[in-house]
Amino acid sequence: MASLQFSYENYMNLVYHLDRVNEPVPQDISKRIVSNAIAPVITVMSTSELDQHVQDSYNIDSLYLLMRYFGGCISDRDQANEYVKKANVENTAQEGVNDQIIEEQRNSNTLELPKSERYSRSRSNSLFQRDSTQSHYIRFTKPIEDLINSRDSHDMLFDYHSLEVYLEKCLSLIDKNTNDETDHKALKMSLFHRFFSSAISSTTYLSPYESFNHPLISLVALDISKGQNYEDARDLLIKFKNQNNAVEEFPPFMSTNDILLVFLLCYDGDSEEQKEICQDVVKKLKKQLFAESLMLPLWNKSHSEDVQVELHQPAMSSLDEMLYFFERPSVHELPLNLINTIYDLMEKLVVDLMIPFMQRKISFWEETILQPRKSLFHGNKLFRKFMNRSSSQTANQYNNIVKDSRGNEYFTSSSPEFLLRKLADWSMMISDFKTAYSTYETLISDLEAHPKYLASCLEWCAISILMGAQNIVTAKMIKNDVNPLIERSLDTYEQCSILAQNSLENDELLSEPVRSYETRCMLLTSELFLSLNDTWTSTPYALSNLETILAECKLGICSQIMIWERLSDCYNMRTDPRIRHRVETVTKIENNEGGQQLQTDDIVSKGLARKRKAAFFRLLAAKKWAEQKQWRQVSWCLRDVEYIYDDLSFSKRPELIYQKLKDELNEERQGNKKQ
Amino acid sequence: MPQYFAIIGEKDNPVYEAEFTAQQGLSGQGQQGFPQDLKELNPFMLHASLDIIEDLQWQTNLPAHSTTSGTTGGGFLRSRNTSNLSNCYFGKVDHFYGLIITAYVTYSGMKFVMVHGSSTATTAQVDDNSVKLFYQEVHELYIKTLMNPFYTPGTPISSSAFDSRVRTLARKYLNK
Amino acid sequence: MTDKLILPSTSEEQSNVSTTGYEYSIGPKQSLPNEANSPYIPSKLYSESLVYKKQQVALSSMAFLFKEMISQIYNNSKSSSEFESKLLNYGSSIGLRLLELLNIRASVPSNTYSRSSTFLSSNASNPSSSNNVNSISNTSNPNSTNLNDISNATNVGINSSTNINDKNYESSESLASLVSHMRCRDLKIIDILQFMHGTVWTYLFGSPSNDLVKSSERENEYMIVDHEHMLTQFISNNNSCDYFVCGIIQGFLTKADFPCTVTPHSNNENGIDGGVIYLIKFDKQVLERENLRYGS
Repeated sequence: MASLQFSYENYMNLVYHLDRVNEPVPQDISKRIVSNAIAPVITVMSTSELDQHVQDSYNIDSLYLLMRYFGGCISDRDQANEYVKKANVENTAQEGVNDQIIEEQRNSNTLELPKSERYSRSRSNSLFQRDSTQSHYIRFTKPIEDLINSRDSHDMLFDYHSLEVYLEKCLSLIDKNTNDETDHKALKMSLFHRFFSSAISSTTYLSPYESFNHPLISLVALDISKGQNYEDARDLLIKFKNQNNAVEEFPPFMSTNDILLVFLLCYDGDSEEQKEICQDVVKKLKKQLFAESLMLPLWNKSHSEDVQVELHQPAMSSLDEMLYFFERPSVHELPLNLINTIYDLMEKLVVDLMIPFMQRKISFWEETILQPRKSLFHGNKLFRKFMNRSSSQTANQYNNIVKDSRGNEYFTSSSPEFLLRKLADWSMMISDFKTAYSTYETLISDLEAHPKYLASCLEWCAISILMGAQNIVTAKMIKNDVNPLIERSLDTYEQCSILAQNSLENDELLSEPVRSYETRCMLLTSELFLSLNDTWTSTPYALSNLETILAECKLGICSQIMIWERLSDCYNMRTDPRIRHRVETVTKIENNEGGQQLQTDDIVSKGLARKRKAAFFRLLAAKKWAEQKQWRQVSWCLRDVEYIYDDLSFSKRPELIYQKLKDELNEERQGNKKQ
Repeated sequence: MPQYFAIIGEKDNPVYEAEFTAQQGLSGQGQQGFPQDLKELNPFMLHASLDIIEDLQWQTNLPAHSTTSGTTGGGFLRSRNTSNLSNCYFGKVDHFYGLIITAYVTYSGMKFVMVHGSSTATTAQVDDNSVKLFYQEVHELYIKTLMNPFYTPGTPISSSAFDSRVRTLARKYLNK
Repeated sequence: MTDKLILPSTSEEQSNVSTTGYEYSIGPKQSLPNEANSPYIPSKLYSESLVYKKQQVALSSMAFLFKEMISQIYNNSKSSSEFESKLLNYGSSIGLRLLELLNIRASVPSNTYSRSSTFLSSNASNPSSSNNVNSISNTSNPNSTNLNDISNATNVGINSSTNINDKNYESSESLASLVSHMRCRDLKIIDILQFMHGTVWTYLFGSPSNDLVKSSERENEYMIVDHEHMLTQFISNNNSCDYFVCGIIQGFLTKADFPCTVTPHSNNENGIDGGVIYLIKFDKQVLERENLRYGS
């Protein structure tokens, strides 16, 4: 078990990796999740011939649906790790009737496998990597046209109904595969972070106010084995480039100029002839159309003899997709060789094409937009303020604003405002948080008149600090810089929702979209606060954000309980750094002695932790879980607070909540046994 | 405005507990206690605030418990610029959904804690001055209990004389 | 475990009670609708003021009591260390009570009550400690119940005027209502030791201790020097009986969250009785806390 590293994907999909629930989880895990959530988006467009071919050979409906399994941290190659499971299928020799449980069994057998077979090469482990620039995350999304067509009528980031449904499905899955005695700490964290990642990211939604979900690469795939050639590629390229004008609903804030088009030429690896055709097409595309292309031997005879690896769902996916696959659980298998080939190809795509492309664009924007602005005013804020208010500036801005059919005003893709925003967003993507921060900051003053843009900009300005300067963020910085940004952002979001409400009277639906941004902002920042080193200073901010979510934001009941539990986690983390080692040793003593003795005599650490407060919120969560009949969660919560409450005499009073819940749980469990 | 009051001993054990309700009308009808769901929660809520009390207990400069600090801010973000002559009464130490928790610590570290409920949906109000006086007088009663050589410190105070006196104080200071 | 055989704090007024007090296993009781009109429950304990009253006991009586206690413990102990620790426990039960009592007395503004400090110049006695000593001998003596009977009898006499008492409650019984600011809880070692050296010693023995010294060798050690050692002055050449006072100090400090151990040492120089030195060794944690909370 120890030999196979616990990866980011393992953690995010911990429900499926129940043998790994004892693994340690780094404190700054949310940083990785954010990295993944804002990872560059690759849209996959393929010809219908290719899709059909993929369907015939691999039983996956389209190339996009195949590629999406390869999202996440590419250097982790987590699909290839599934091979371990696959190798044990023969042992169990059962068809996938109850595949979850079988999977669990397979997992528990991993130890038996010889180590050498697993790897073709050494792998990185994104979970414990210090330097986030080392691991590249990517996300795949459906073809642009589908993206555009699925744009919602209102700018909603996530839909709390789906979120709730998704959460319920996860809970029932957990309920099915665990028992009351399962070590649940990491599992619960993982569940929360699944919830968290679903709330902060949704790959299918194109926001006009930020560019994280805008496709950065368009992968255009052709099937050479079916005779598609250069002409087809050229037609596709033209179609792609013309989308701006040809597609009616093409959003004005997107431009195909800022999307890197890469051809993916799929061919039969057995055929030398096809390979040559491919190489030909690659050259031609490069020479005549200046387009990059990659070659993928998607078919190969040897594939059928190779080990088949069962694919798992990617760690980050859109809510709709996750729900879709929950409802139609299907097992897809790919040959191990092909999986590694695709990963090689993706690495090439990212390292050789995507990163340089981004850097080129970023430096271009820096030179043409950011620099002139800075040098002109020499950072003289007063003068800049004056200039910003001058009429010419405002007039300029109006040129760059378009109205869509619903009367919403958007900056166009070529406006300096949106390009700057993109510059900042992309800097975030490649973990250049310093540039991101300074760009967001420059942008803030430009967007004063556009609250919707401003709110998001403020939000990400704060996030860029929290993401970038994690270990040097001081209490003073949080108080004077970070928190004011967040508060201003929230205020602005609120302003927007009020504006929206006023403009269309009494239509409550319209205030929701902005609320979902607000919720995201609070969730995101509170998680990042928690990932800071000095949790004593930072947890109060996380707490107040989470409490506001509970009080003000519309969320489903299970989602709310998730937040309640997170509040408890916050209090658990609220330990003065100076006594942290003491508290830790105390808990260790407890574990050794069966959780019975709580050492209360340590007068030094008195009052410098919030364990009792944490227990209280856990208890509240238990109460709420009980109302939802989520008994597994109830029992886990009660187990979490045992060490605090069991020594207290008053807690055993039958009319008090603690004993009541215990009794209810017992009754429930007994009732189940009788049946 | 009901209150749940408890004296908490060294090992987080309640030494004394009582629930006070306002007496409305001459015959004392229409008094409002805590709703059932809070009743079963109150002791735990109070227990949860002990962490904060222990923190404040060892601070040389207690936050000012004037009414200006309000109920917002959330216990731990208040400014600490006023040093008080007395450090027994802590004022509001915590809050939970409109309920306020006040605390007082005696010289031997007994914690007097009270959950102040609200009669309406609004946030509970706490008059620091009278709450402080209530605590001080209960403190004195506690010392008198302690003077009884048959009383072992830390055990429950089951005297009805004590009980009735505390309730008299509650009527006098808390539910006028 | 304290069982229900003797309800500790109700021992005074079991007879005439219709309402009951706090029941631990039940939890908090709600106030009754007609509570305000319920009969006043008389109690000598609670109607007595905490203000210091000059009640002196002859030193010889005190010494006699002390001797009784010592011999009682002595007869029940198998070793000298058992004797010392038992004595220490008796002392500490007084110390922890003094912690509360003396602090609240110190909170009362001096102009309200003239707290003369001329008491106890040579007589070691006080209501509380003598009370305690009494009680200790009481427990071993079945005849002692008459003490309670007497107090009950006096209570019955007052019963008729209880309602008036209730109204005058604060002025007659309550110290706390006179206090605008309770004395600060002592948070630092030096503060609480000074209180010990001054107020506590004055209360116990009539004057502050002769000296309060910090050990130059060990950071956690302090010494209180007492030349008089009033209680044990008639006992020669043995520090064992000083464990009683050690207990008082230790109980006082430990209850105030300054856990420590206190041991007596004789201060004899050249055969002259120089009194007793009480060596206070604080737990390491106390210093750590002080460093953490108030260290620079």
